[in-house]
Amino acid sequence: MPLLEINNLVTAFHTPAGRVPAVDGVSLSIERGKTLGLVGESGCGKSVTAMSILRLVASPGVIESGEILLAREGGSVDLTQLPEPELRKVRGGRIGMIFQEPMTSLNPVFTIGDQIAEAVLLHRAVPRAAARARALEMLKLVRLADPEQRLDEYPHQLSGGMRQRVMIAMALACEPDLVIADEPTTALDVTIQAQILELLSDLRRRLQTSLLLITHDLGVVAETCDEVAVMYAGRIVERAPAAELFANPQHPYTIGLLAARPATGVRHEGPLRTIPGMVPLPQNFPAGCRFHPRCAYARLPHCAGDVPPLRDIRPQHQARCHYAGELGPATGEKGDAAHFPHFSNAGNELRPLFPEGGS
Amino acid sequence: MTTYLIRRLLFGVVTLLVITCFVYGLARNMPGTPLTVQLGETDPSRKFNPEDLERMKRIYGLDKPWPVGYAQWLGNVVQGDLGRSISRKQPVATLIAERIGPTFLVSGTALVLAWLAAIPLGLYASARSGTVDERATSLVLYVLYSFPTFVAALFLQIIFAVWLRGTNWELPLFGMTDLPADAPLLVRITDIARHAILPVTCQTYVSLAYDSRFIKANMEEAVRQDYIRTARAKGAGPWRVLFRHAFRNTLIPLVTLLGLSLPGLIGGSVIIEQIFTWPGMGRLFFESIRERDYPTIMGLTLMFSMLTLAGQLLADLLYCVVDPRVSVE
Repeated sequence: MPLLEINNLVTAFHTPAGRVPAVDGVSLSIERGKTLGLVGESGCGKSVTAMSILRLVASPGVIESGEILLAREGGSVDLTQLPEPELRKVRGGRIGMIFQEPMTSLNPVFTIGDQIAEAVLLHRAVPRAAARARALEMLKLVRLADPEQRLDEYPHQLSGGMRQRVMIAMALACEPDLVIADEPTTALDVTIQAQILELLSDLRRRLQTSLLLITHDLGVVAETCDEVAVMYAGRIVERAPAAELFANPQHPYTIGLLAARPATGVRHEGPLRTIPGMVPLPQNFPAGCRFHPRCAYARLPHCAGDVPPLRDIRPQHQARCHYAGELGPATGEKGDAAHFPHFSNAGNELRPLFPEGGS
Repeated sequence: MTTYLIRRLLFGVVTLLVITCFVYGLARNMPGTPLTVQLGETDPSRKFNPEDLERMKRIYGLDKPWPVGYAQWLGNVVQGDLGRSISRKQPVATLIAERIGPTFLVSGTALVLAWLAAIPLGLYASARSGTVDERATSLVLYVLYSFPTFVAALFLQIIFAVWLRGTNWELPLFGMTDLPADAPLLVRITDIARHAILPVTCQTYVSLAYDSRFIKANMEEAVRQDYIRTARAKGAGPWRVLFRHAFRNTLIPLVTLLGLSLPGLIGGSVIIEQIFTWPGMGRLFFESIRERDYPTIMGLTLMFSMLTLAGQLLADLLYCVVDPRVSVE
């Protein structure tokens, strides 16, 4: 039984302009001790999915339906139905969370030590001194330099990378079963990004914690994740073990994402490949397959009319595409990411991977 | 820290010089002098000898141009002498000492009451933001805030001093006390307290309305911050999030507001003291202007300016206490 299982989650924002379904029937599962990467462009609903798990979606967002099952001794509990006081025990206790913005996610008027100790005191009946000792221990664990001194410093005295280490320390302080990291490195310098990811993976392994890693960076996924779920316009479009996904992407969107990655060690000539068009806004998601207006493989009217189900294409590998598995040469036997044509070598004009789809 | 204080002090002295010079110039150039005001108020049939007038002008230093007068006033102030009131024949320092207590009684009580009520009200409003009861409370507070004190004062006087006359609810119309100075202390205190109720009410409700809206606005700003989400993700309950995480950050702007209210604490409200004939600083200021009583005007101006500067300094210093990001260095 997975540690966390999300079934048909629908989270919508009820704005004056109407209902905006940011997350529209998402199903995911995370095994104990594993890392699941949730990938997608900005605005695809991956952060809202993460916030829904701990019911931290800000008003006017509402979890409308679906279940979020967290395993516990002798069964599981549905977090969407859990009374608020019970849910608070899960928040920071069984599930820790790391946010995207280390610069603003720490309270400016409390010391680092206070903020980590608070997480401990909220979940453990220990004296203040013990919580402080635990905070120090955590700062050492996340390899923050001069931990004794940092304990009494305020967030503004720390750099972004240091603050994210503090956030990680806070999220892990109560030894949670699951850590949700919502784009933990996006706001950081590239050099720091690698350090933080390495730290996160290392701690996850050592503490046997599961990790839900939300990112738009496929490189991060390749290095860190056991499983990957690709999200597009509020829905999961593809789900597979990481190696399998990179080797045999099945959904045209995933294929496009992988092709848009610059290859390392190759000199870039001309512009990088892109997926034409824009991510649709939740208030005007296209009918049928939500990717069809941007998809080179789209067959009309079929793709615009019927919502494709998320179905098994290969062992342990699901995709939400009517034609997955029969898309032709781009995805055929030469499916390895390295074989995708990465750049257009002919001149400077933009040559998208996909010709403009009908929209 | 010491250099900072010295710099602030020097800056303060310069500010005081500019303010007092400006006010002195304005006062002296207002139409009329203390003498014409006094003459206008005495029997018109009584004729003054022009030579007497000249002599009086010389006594009060009114024969010299105002910059000279200012220099003289400044010289005395530096030696610790605020001068003598022209219309009241008393040292200005004595006048201020007499008036400061009554003003402080009203504005101090009003300030404490306003803050005591405004903090829970503001927190309540931000916690229940958007609900029917919060909107109703907000509406009442907005009405109170826009309701002029002088109108409210008159209504309160009609209700408590006229309509309720003869009942247990009757309150004095104006003044600070009806009793002679040798009345028993407890009786005197009760009497002064009864006189103070209406002025205190008037001064409290406007601040209360303003302060609670201010707290609510700042709380709403604070609860939108990312660190609030972090606190919730840690498992903190709604009250803990509100008090410990949001309100602690709201203290930062509140300290500024508190610093700004310091001059009002001693300066009092001209309108309220005038309506209730309260023997305080605000009324003294108003009367001294009407009487062209230059030494009193200047003494009060100097004091208010110093309090304003002190309030700002206090706010800045408190700022360092409540906000670890700010330092005076």
